[in-house]
Amino acid sequence: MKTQRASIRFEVEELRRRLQETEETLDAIRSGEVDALVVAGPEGERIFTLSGAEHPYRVMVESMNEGAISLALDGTILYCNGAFARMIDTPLDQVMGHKLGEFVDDDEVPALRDLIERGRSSAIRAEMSLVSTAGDVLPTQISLNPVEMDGAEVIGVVITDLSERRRKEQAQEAVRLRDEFLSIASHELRTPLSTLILHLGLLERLTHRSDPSRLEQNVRKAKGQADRMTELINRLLDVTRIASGRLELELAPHDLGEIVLGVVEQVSEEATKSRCEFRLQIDEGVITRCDRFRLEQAIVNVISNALKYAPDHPISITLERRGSDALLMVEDRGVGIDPDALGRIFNRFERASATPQSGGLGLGLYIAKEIVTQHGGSIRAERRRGGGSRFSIALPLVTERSE
Amino acid sequence: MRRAPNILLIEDDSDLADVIVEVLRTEGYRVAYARDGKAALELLKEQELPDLILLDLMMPNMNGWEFREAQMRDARIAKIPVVVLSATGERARPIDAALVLRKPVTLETLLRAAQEFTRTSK
Repeated sequence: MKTQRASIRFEVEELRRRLQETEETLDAIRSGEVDALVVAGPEGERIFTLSGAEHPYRVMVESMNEGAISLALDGTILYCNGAFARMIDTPLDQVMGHKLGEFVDDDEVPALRDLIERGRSSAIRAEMSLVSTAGDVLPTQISLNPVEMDGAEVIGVVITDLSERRRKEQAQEAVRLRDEFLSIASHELRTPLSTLILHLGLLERLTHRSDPSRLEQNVRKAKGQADRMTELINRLLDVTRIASGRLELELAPHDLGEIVLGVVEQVSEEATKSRCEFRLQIDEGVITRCDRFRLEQAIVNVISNALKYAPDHPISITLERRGSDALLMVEDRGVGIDPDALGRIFNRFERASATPQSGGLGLGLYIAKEIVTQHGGSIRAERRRGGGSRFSIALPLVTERSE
Repeated sequence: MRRAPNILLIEDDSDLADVIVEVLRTEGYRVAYARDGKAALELLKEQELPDLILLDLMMPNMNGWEFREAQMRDARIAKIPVVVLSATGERARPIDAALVLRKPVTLETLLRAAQEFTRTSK
């Protein structure tokens, strides 16, 4: 019994070893390390050579994503693969026998001539724009290698499409520029804004003395606009701060109910303007560890969002314990969120819906999400049954014992 | 009679400087004004030293950081409290000052700072 098991184990090991050997041989054939192999069979050993190697290589060249060309020294395309023909969107028979220069941006033809000249003696690489017969320009990288083919001197050319990489680089650059713009914009606005605010402060004091009430009212309105500009700047700065991971939280235990009531007080003027009434249901003693200022900001953003998108309707704000979380729900009865927009509304520069009066930068919910996430919590949005939206913020509770 | 506190404002934006000077004078302060750190150091060579310096950061010729370094090296003026008015984000390098106010600054904040840092110096 024991010996039988041992021999089975031996055979399995042997089969495993042979399998591995076979895999290694296949790899070696693929990578070109092997061009002949001896196979032991029932009729004795047989030698297989890969002299018919043209077939697998052709298959490989044809299946490449890169364009492959063999080029005569005068720039004539002797052979090219399908990928190159696709890059320039031209049928194969209109490519072979033609000059490569016909498919290169006119301005770069002299550079190509120079490359071919240098490619005769050594491998060389450069960037080059291809032009299709329809006139589309494709950024590429072109590598040239001197090759000897059937005794003749030719150049092997491999062309890589760079358009995807370019698009990515452009997108990254755009993001960097935007962040830089935001940072600069906020900086540049601060000095004139300071001036404006101080002038207004002065005016307010001066008009108070002679008491022309209309003037004072106008000054007050102007001041309100200045405050709005400040708010805008702070939001833009928050976005750059968050994007570069520099949002720092000062955590301490706070009563979440108190924070919510404070926020409701803060937005009461806004609520009056939107003709919204708050329906509050706040559990007492719901404690979380949070940065009070930042969390207030997140909640203000969510409630302001409801006020903006659901005017003339009541807004329910509920705070309760759920398991080990504090759960804050803000429900409106407004236009609601398009189902396909639900996944995007927490992104930067995204707006919940495109109602005509929906202004703003589309930053509020993004900032709210980032703040909540950094608190170890989560925020979600859903369509409310019967119309409107529900935003839920879950934050880890602090139990009395853990503090 | 006690003389009114004396404030030196260092700010390159003339519009902003004008209104700050006006605000402070309206409140009874005496104000001297320099448009950059270099000009401020010249002014500080004069006999009467200010009770407080209001300092902008981003300025040509000599910026706020450079001015502050020069001030600290000169024992005669090193002790004058400095309130910074900064328009830069927090990416800017920090500066050693009695108080850093971020622009935009309201009239109330400006006056509170002026009052706070000139009260004890006389």
